[in-house]
Amino acid sequence: MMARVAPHPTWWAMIRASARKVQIYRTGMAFWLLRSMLELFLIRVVWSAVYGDRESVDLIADDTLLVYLTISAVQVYILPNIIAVEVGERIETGQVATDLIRPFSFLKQMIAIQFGSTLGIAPVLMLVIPAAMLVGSLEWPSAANGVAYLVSFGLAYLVSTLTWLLVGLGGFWVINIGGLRALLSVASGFLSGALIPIWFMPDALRIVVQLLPFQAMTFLPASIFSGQVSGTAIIGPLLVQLAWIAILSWLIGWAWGRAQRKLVIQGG
Amino acid sequence: MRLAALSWDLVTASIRGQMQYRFNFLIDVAFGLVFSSIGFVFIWVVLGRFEGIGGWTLGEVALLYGMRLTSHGLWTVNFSQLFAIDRIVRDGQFDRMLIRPMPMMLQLMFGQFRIATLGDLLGGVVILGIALTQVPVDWSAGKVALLAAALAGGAMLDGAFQLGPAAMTFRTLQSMPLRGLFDDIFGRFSGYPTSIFDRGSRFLLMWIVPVAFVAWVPATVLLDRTDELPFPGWLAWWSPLLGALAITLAAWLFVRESRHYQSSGS
Amino acid sequence: MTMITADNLVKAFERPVRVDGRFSAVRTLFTRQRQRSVAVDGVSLRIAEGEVVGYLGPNGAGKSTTIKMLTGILVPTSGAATVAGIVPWQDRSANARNIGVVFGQRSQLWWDLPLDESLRLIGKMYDVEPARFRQNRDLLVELLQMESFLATPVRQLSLGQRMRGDLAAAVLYEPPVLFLDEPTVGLDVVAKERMRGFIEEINRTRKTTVLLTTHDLDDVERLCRRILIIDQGRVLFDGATADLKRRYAPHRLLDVTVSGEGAAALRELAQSPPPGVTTNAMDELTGSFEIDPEVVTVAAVIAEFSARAPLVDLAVREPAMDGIIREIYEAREITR
Repeated sequence: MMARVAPHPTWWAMIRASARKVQIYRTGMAFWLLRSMLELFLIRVVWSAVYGDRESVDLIADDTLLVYLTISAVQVYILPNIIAVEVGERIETGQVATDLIRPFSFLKQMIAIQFGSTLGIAPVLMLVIPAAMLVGSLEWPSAANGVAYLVSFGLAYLVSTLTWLLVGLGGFWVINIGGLRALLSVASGFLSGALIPIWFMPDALRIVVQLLPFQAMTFLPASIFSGQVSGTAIIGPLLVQLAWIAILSWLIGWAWGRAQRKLVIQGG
Repeated sequence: MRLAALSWDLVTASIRGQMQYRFNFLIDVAFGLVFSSIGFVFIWVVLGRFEGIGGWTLGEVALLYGMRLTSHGLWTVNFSQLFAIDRIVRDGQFDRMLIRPMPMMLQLMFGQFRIATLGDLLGGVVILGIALTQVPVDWSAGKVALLAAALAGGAMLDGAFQLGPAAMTFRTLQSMPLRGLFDDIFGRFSGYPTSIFDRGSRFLLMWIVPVAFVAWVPATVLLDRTDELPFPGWLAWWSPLLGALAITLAAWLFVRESRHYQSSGS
Repeated sequence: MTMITADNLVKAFERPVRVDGRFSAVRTLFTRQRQRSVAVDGVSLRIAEGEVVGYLGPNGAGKSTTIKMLTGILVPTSGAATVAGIVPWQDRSANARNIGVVFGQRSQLWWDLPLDESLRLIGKMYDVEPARFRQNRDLLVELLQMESFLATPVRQLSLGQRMRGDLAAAVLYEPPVLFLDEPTVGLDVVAKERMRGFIEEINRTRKTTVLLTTHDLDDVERLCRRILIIDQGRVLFDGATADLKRRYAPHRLLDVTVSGEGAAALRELAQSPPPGVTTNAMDELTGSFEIDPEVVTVAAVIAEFSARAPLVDLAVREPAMDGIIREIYEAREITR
């Protein structure tokens, strides 16, 4: 048997199909861009006013914080959660039974759809960066932090994909996974540290947040980008992210095994 | 009287309909509550740490937030059907509002009541209640009346910027992006003292999309801080009228534009 | 008394032309380019109290658009109309009290509530006195045999049950006019028959004026003494159902069967039929002929046939409605 070096061709086919599909959503994108600019602008105004004349609070400088919050917001826009919608809908409509018959694993199909949809809207998503420089506060990090950030963002993308895949699989056990998903996605804005950096949270809240995967999506890469973490200390957040990827992969495998058994018993 | 009784019947009927899906119902209410309280937790955590914003204390900003959330709740509780107006018009479901002996606007308001919208109202009232114990208001009968009028006025102002754009659905079959934009502006900007913004933004928030009148302007009267306003303080007493004016205009526009309804989808 | 009038009713739809490419949504929003299509193009009609009129036409002919103007849902581009003396789109509430509407494709009932509850709400909305309401409701439940599913949420009803519910809701407050847009679409034979019987009953007992669109010509043959045919927004025919046949298909069809020894005689008849008779089909012992009553009477043809061949069976038929309608549509295609 030959070892396959290149990815399975089905991957590309599915990614391309999904990328084309989301082009439809581009229609609402101009308004979306406007709305994200408003948010970025508000972040800058509110936090500048909160800081007032002070230069740093809790050892966090005014500028660092604004960069942190701006890049966090940008990340929240870019990070995926379409996968949870896809998985949930396929389970709800029973489509999953058909998906299972295809010669390409269901989970891989879903991940391909997620990659494709990100690629499809990427051109518009990229516009958020100049927008953030215009109305928000974006400063480029040092070279070392920049490279580390790119790695960390890649890991964050994976954590996000896996987390929302897991949430979507919840549809096998929970009715109205749609409502639950909406609830979680709103909560995740808070739990990921995108609204308030974890440094400023009261102790009890901070402990809860650090035990959940959401901070690995936003807080960790954003604190590298803003330079709050630097030097060899960068290894720490990267390890935490890797750990989450391992944990989530294991959880998904476990949940998927049980879901398949459930599907077989109920006959789809 | 007849219309009031009928509206009540419609609301209770739609509640009974939703009770058939009990679990969804619980999730919806929880969603409403979480959604509306996250904004407040933000203010509470941040201002608790930083002791106020632009000369306003945590309690005072909480008052603004409570006022705006209550107003928003009052609006959405009454007009939850408007969220789905694009679909209602596109599928031709709007038909039924035109063939029943009840004004279209009342049917739009009460035809479908979504329990989830109670989350905003509930959250708003609780936050407002707590905030009122934390702020030094020199209460008088006039100020009590102003607070009540401001909540209604804020609801109408917020609503006018949803109902107005919704009127274009009849021609374009789509108003969600624009309504979403206004919802964002009202949701994000009305809970802060407008005075923290720079001159240009302040102008926009007062005179172009008059978000400032939802909570900040009436609150300056309650807190005796009208000196922050760019106009005489006595004028601020009349700020709720702006909402009444705006909603009247929006309703007129909506009814006028409904002439262009195409009843497609069948 | 004239119940429904329409004079030169026109409805043109304008849709923004979709712009493709970057920011298409925003550009579509602000584009001035519009596409115009005329759905109803000068329809005039008069319908008297107590009439049941079939409104026919191919898909997209403008049937539903006309009904939607008469119910007040659409505002016409030009022209005038009244229903029971009221301009529907100008005084919607008053018009609503005078009309009952059933759209076969879309229910007007409360989806998540039991049917009974929908009826109760309709009763309140139309100010039906409680005693009157009970009486009407009980009558409808009996006539439409709804007892078994009154407590079922509408979304769980079968199509036939739902349509019965919709029809009950439309006549509960005794409107003088009833608009039915494809009331039997998708129903099985039994359910269709039940609907027709009910419409007939309501028209007979209450003198309700009925305008109904349908693709099912059995509905028309059973219920309508008058029909209107519309295509491309224009009225092609307006008159008695019998007139339509007289005008477009006046011939009769004669089917005969002969006994074994009559085969030769039948063949001869088929090969050279008498004047005014044409042969449609011919088998060994059966033949099918078309008679033109302008040339020869049906009785004379039967007399001649039975004199020349030993008939064992014979049947005279009118041409079927759908054949006639199809001919009208097709003739229209050609002249277009």
